[in-house]
Amino acid sequence: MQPDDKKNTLSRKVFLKYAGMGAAAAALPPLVPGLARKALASIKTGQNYEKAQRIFSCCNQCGGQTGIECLVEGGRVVSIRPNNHNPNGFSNISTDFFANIEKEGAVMCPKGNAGLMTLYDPDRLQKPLRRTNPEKGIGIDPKWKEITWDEAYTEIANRLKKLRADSDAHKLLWFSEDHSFTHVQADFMKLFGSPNYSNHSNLCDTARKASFKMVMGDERPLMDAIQSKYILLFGWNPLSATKWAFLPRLMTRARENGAKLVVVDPNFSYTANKADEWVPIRPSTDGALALAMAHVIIRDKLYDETFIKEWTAGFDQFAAYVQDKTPQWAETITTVPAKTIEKIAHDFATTKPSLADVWSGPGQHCNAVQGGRAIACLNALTGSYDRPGTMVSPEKKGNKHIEWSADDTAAATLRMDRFDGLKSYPFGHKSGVYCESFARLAEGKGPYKPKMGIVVFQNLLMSVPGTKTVEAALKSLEFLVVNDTCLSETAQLADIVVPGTTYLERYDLNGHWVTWPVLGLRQPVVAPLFGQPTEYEFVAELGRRLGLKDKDGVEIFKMGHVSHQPIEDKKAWYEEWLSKELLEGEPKISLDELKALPGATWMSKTGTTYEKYAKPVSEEKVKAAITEGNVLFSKKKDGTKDKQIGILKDGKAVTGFQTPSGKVELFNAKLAEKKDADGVPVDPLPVYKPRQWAPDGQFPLYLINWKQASHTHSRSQNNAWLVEIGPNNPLLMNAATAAKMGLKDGDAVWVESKYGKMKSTLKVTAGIHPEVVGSQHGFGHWALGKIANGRGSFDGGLRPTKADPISGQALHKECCVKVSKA
Amino acid sequence: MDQVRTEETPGLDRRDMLKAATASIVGVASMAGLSVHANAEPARHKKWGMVIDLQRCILCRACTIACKQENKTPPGMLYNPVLEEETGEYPKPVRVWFPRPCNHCDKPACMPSCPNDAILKREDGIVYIDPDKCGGAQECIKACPYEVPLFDTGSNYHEGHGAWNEIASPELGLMQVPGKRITANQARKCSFCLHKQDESGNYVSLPACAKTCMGKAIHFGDLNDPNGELQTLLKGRKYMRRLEDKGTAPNVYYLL
Repeated sequence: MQPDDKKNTLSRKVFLKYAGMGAAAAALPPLVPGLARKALASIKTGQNYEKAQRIFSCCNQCGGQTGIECLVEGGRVVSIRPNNHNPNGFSNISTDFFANIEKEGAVMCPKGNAGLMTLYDPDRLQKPLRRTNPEKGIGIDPKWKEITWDEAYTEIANRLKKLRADSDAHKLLWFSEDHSFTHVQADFMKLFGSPNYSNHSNLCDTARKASFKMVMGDERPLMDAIQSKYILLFGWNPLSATKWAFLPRLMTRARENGAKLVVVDPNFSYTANKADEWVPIRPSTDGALALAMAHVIIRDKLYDETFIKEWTAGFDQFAAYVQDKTPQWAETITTVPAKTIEKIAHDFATTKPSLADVWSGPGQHCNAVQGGRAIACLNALTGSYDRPGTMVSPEKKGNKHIEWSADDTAAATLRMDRFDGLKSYPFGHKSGVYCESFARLAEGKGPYKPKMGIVVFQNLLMSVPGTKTVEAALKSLEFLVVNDTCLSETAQLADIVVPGTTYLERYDLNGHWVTWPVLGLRQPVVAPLFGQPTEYEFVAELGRRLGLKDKDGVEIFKMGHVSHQPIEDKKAWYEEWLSKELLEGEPKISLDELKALPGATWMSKTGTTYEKYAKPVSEEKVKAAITEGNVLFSKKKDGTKDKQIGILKDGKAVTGFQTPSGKVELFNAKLAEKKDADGVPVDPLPVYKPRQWAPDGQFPLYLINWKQASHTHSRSQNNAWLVEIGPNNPLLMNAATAAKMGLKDGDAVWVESKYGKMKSTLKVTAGIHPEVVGSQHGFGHWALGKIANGRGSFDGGLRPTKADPISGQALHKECCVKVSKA
Repeated sequence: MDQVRTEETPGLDRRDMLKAATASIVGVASMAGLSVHANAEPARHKKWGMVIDLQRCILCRACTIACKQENKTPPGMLYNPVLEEETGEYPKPVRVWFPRPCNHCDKPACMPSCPNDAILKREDGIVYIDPDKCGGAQECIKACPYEVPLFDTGSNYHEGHGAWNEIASPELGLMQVPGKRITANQARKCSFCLHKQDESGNYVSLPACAKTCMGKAIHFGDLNDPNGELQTLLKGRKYMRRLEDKGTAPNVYYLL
């Protein structure tokens, strides 16, 4: 636990300077207080909201869903605290959770601690509004008129009815947040007859999902940091992007347990700050660095031979490909010195267990998928999959999304192509392709012309790259409905805006991103403040007014799914909906039973399991399986092939990996049969290609962005508390670069790309790559609320509305700019 | 560290309630002149303090906001900010930071500066500004070398909205009505969440900053317990206190 001396001296020196201290060493404190007793009878103690009602729930200040305990007094939420029964606030490994939670207690991030200011934000939208100004656009006053909920429903339902009557149901596009009430929205679209339900994920990490899926068959393996001895992170900042509140504890404990931490990132993130080594890199070149590491590991025979032999496919082709991918080759591409690459390759391969992980840093450029795949291949070389201290496949078992079949009316339009061209993305994600949607809308392209949009808790204008394109896209729709808690920038382009609810006013089921099956309940802690319906009630009401039925004629949005009786009260109806999902899912309990569990959290007793790929498939399953080559599939009711359940290995049926070969794939010849969205065949190897947009004489600097612990995307900047710890987003520039350009700290600057410009304030630092400038994303609002508006800078207008051609991931980081004094 | 309940979970409540109950029985019995020495542990004063592990602190500032949430402090008032500084040159930048609660000094510079004798050093080590006595002279603000006490101008969030202003602050034990807040035009500061103490002087739960800390960097407990968590940590690690030369003898220790 003792930090090494060298580091200590350094920290201490700086710390002393900052603290204005002399060099005197601190003595142990005296064991007897030196001051005379002063009685203080007047101080009242024990005032700890002890009369408050305590309700366990889950946070939704971001998509992380950390467990919370809410204290309610006099109908007000008075405090939000960590929930010790929910591992999301503590650890992603079951043994660590069970052994240490009582002693240490769960945690919450600053955003979670600021929930009250989101709930009681005075800028929250309270009543439905209708636009009276037909002219739409950024900066144009919609001339809102307050309308009743009945008027809002009537108009929206009439529009929807007309679409259906005209066989145009597919011309409805729906965009939603990706962690909340997604099932009911997706089901509405299905039963309405539109294939165009999309949600947030493709703005986030679908490139990462594709990278890991290609290599080891799981879209989201999670790092088992606390048991690792060598953690290599590419463009991931888990100490600030604290989406899962357990991350900081795991990372700092890993360090205490002796793990080396190496962070590859153009920005000196707070994670890099805690690392043994920060490796600054030219943006989007991480794949090249990984390939050179693979070159060294294979050249020096440092790979896990048994794992390679037993559990991987395509090693020879991969080895041949990286033969000339030398550290010198990578140095010219990445700016990382060859000797650094040699060293981290050696350390990564020889320290056990080790892991390499990648997230949105390299993950939001057009070469992200293959770059991430090269990183995922590093884990293959060292056998760093699904073992303690490596990249572990989480067991995701929780509530079940009940399948309803569309009736004939809906089925007729449901079978139309998706508007966003998702199927042309070979590793596209079910969340869709936002960028393609908006680019097509703006340019009038695509298979048909959508007429209506419904947007739920998404601020598309600020979250999708290419503001002007998104604006034109939304304007092109005949009718736009936005459901949100604030009159966001996107809401300003709507025809009708209805007030949404915060996470403290509604239900949800959260399958947590830990490694064993855990499901937490979000529940209404207070009733919606303005009497507004929750989002699922809004959807159900529309479903009812449209009389949507499934194939069997059941009114899905009215029928109680447990009682099988129609239920008028929509909240009670949704409670049965959730009960049904729980009863038919893994927990096999009702909603009330989930509420009664400690911390309103269900978890599987199995805990975290490892090496699941080596587990035998039961004889029963093998007998019932369809076998193709070495791969076993379960059978559907109609006898056709269903899911991959295992492979035959040395004559035995084992679970394997969810890849076509059932093994970790370093090479896959069949990938070349797939074409990406640009029509280019997918490379069978994780080939490094430079991203398309490179700096040039006119726009010489890379522009990147990142998260900090203080804010969530573009939605938290109106939170009165969070702006006190994260007031704005200056543009960071390397000191040497600034000196060369004659710029100094605090200068007002213009940041300009070929697509647009923003005004920012310069922060000069030693902590960023000299070729790079960057800032935290999410600031620069002009409509969200009084606190957010005009605070900081907005970079969305500097990029085109473009997706990565393999996964459909939005390219938030592919941008080059020039910076000049304003 | 038996004085502080780390948790408030129902599973822990019973045991901890028993603990607290035992403590009050001992207390009551002692007052009544009875001799109760359950473990024959010699009586000693507690001295509440903090040991903050800078290796575990990740600059998330959850502590800063948890404190705001707990104490319902007015706009801009942070009892426990995290101070940050960057030095060094590319590619070896050095960034350091540390949370800065009140040091609850053994020799608090603020205390003698107060013309109203409103600042008290409690027997358990906590330095407390008594809102019933504070006259708003702001001498403590000038005297504290750590810039800890802050002036409450009486401003509040969300004027006119209602909800915020109807939430009680446990620290003050009263409703925060704008313009009527007892601490308006007074000095305020971190009290180690004194309101979380029960009648026997033990904490029913950790101070808000320590409880929420994402890296589990903030250790709170009794510095007078030679075998307690804090002394154990200090024995095993290099540590420092801020501005030792000022002679204030702070009770917040930083592990390097």
